[in-house]
Amino acid sequence: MLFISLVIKNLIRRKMRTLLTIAGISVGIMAVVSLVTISNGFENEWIETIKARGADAIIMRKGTVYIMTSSVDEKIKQSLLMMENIESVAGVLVDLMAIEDSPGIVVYGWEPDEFLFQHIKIVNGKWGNQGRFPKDNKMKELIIGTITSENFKKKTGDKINIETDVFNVVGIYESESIFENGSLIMPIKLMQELMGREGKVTFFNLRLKDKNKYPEVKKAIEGKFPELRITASDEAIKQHNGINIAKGMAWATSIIALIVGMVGTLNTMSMSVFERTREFGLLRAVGWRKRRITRMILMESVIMSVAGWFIGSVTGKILLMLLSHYSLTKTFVRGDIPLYIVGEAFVVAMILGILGGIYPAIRGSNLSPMEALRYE
Amino acid sequence: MSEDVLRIKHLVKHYDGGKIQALKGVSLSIKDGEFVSVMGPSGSGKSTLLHLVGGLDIPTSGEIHINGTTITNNKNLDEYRSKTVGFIFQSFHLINTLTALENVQLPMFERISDPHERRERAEILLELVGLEARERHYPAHLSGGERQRVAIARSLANDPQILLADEPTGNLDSKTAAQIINLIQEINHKKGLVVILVTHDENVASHATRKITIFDGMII
Repeated sequence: MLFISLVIKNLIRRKMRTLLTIAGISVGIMAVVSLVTISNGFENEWIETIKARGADAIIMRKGTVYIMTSSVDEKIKQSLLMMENIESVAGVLVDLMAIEDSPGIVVYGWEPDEFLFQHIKIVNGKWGNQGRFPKDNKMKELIIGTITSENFKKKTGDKINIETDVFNVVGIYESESIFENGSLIMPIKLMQELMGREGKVTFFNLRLKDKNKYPEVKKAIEGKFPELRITASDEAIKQHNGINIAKGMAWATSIIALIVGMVGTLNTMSMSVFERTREFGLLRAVGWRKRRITRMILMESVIMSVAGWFIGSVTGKILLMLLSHYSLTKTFVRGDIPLYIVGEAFVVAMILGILGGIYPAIRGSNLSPMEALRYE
Repeated sequence: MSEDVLRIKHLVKHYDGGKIQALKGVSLSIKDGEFVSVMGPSGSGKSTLLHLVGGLDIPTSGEIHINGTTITNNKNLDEYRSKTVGFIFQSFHLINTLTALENVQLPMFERISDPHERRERAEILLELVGLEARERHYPAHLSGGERQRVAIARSLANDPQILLADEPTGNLDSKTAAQIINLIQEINHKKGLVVILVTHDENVASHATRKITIFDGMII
């Protein structure tokens, strides 16, 4: 008989309890894998979005906590364009709006003719840089992303309700960013009118002639406009409060789930050690060292954790695949789990197994053989 | 004349900080190949003596020498228990979820690293106790006598020098008890190991080559 066979036999003898413990750990691991994947995906999508837009920096109002609440005067654009090293400036208005029956999706107002249009591809209809730009607000024309098109079953030529108004879909676009694919874009003038924010943008996207001159540009802009804050694209990613909150929530929820899993393991292993007191007495009497008993109990606990890791990763993957097809979540969930997260989850599972097993293992190995044998 | 395998000097064991004096100074020498029975009423200290010799407990004072070396101040008794002594208990102490063959292999984990060797050795031992046909049976499917045979095979797992039996026939009917005691006697002859057997059954004790009686913590 191998030592590992003995360990496995010990786990199998209380099948139901072992399975329930593994289920508890699986839930914890599933939470880690799926929530961390989603929040990291969130961050990656944001990075993709900023990269795809080809902006080197973002200008918003100073003191803005959440980017959507920023508001900057549109006229500043002209002054910015006069400054050295600035190649182009694209104003963007962003907000959440009620579309059809949905409580809110992201709507962008973009300036026609600006560089932002370079990264989206019109897959249906004619708009953007490949066609005409509707400059007349009365036409109420807009384009929708591929995911929005699927979710709301809208094609080119259809009408779409936004808030209390009706708009015409004149094209469907595809971006490298699934955020943008899940949103819609209208001319900025139309959006300003709709929101009653004439002359305002949420932020400016900035393209520099020479990226290395960023520090000088930052100094110049912030000197001239003390009410503005300029952030390089990569900094903007790190400072995005929504993402940081999402990541924090993902880990906090995961840690709670993991603690529940660990307490479950601790409980199972403690009970199991308690029930086997006489057995440990016998094993000590036939010459087993404390270390071997510790190892046996820890291996039982770690095997359950590893099983939980495997099941949790598989169920996490299934969950993400489902979410990536579900309309509310598919704008920010991709179906794949990056390997490094599965690896992180494995390390977490091992730690959980050891933490859950260490106390019972020490207790089990420190039993006096005499007393343990007499134990009824 | 053969050497003393075991020499005990003024062995004292107190429990509960001296309230219970289980052994009050026992001295004893046992030679190679001896079969010693220890008799005495309940609570006389005979089991305590066995546990101290088996390294399951530490004496309050006194010395136990095995082959000339003392074990009483040896802090690591695990190796001693695994190498030098084998235990047989009244209640067998088999693990119910393991087969006879697996139970016999348990003590070998500390001594034999090759799983095939452990298995082969366990098969030989089960054959020695007449259970070769019951290797794959679980304790629940074995009779009392068969279970004790498995326990005897287990006690021999690491080829001990001393076999310690604590009321090995206490849970068996008289016919089975006689068979078990014959088996222990046979092992004593064949292997030439020391047997120390605690019992309060006169018939069982009569198989021993030497009888010791303990009363109130002392040999009389």
